[in-house]
Amino acid sequence: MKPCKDIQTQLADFAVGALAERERAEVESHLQECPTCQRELRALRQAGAVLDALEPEEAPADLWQSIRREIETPKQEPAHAPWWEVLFPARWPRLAYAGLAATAILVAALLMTVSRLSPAEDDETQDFLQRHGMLAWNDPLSDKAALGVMLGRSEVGREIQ
Amino acid sequence: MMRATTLVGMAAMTLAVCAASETGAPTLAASPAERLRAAQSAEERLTLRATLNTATFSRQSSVSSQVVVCRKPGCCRWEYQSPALKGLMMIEKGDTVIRLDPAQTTASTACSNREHGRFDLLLKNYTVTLERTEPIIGRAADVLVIKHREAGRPAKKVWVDRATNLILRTEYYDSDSKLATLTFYTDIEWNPPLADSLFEIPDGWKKVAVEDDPGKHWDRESLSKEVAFNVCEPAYLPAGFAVDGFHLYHCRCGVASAHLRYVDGLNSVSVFERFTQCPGRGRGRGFGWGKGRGGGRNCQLLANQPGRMLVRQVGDLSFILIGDLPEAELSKIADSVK
Repeated sequence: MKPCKDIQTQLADFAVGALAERERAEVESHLQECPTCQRELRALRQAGAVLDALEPEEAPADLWQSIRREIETPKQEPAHAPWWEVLFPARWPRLAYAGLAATAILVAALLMTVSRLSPAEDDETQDFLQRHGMLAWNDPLSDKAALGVMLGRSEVGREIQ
Repeated sequence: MMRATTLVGMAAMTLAVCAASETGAPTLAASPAERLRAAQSAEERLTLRATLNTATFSRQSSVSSQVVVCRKPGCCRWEYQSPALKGLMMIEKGDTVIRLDPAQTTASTACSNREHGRFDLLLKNYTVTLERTEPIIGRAADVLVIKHREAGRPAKKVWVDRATNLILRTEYYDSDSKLATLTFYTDIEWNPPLADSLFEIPDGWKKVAVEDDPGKHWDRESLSKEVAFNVCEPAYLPAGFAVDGFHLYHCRCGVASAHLRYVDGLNSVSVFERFTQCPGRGRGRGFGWGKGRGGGRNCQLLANQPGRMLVRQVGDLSFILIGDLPEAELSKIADSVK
């Protein structure tokens, strides 16, 4: 029989039914004889049930009003230097400004590249994926419960009424 | 006399078979393939309220949910319990699929027609074997394994209830042989009363269509006229794939796309073709891949479902291929689109 520490690393997957058949059989046979791991599994399942039952916490009703008050209340600022003097103190060497500008351009270029390589973030990609999934709905043996998750994860379509 | 006895015997057998099908009790088929065929259509005859768990595993994200299912002949409703899915419900009524979004109070409707020939295609391309019989949620089930005759294709394993033929558990293995989706019942209540209103769009909800001509099949010429370019077909398809249909699809920016769909019974490949220029691009919603690079291409695994997407740009046109195939196969299809 496998030691408890090996079995316990597999219990989370076992609890959601994600183990391959052989591993599942091993865990099941271990569980039949090991009260410690049985307790561990019960605890995992209880934790899962609690997490499933959690609902997103509502923001306090007056949150927006308090933010708005903060924004709208004029601040008693001490007299200060103009913004360009704050951002670019005269004592900074010109080379530092050039370095900052180059870094900003590099970051912007990197962000643009990453966004191009992430079709999962693209609304239109989602449209094509949803369309692909939708037409698989009535394929033989289609797992409609799983397809529903995929189809339900973003808003598509246009109003007809 | 002998002939009359034979006739009476045949009539009795026919009556017995009819009675069995009315009560939902299956006549156990001889071969695993026929057993699978019976399982494929079993759920359409059953009335039940049940709970199931479904999970989709991918390299980037996994999502799971408990689902409450209400089913009666011709209708089914899935209520997703996971907070991440915000009360999503799906309803199937005949060939119409409705997605209910309580957060927006919208009902998106689409049509998905049933082509019964696809199951014969599955049996032609895949082998079905009975692995074993084992209990699941206290019911005896046959474990059937569906594998393609070639390597590098998805596979499925289903647990078929011996009493009703309902599929009690499904495991889908992607073309990399990794467990990609898993769905299994945890409890079932048979023949509960189910109100018709469960399968209707609630009053006052906004109705949304997700396609222009639900269920319409196009031929290549008429589709080319509609999208204003010559629709190209792939010259190469992996073994076992056949044309399922040509469709017209408008993405949310309004650009018309040709959607060519190919199936092998269990797996499908979509080829979308459209002009690359998209009004949505200025708002940061268009395709970025290959922009400014003639013949640009990008292939990657999908984030939220099994399979890969490959995008290729040729001249003014973009080709978007989606399917659960090895990257080399998807590229070969893309290269053959002419």
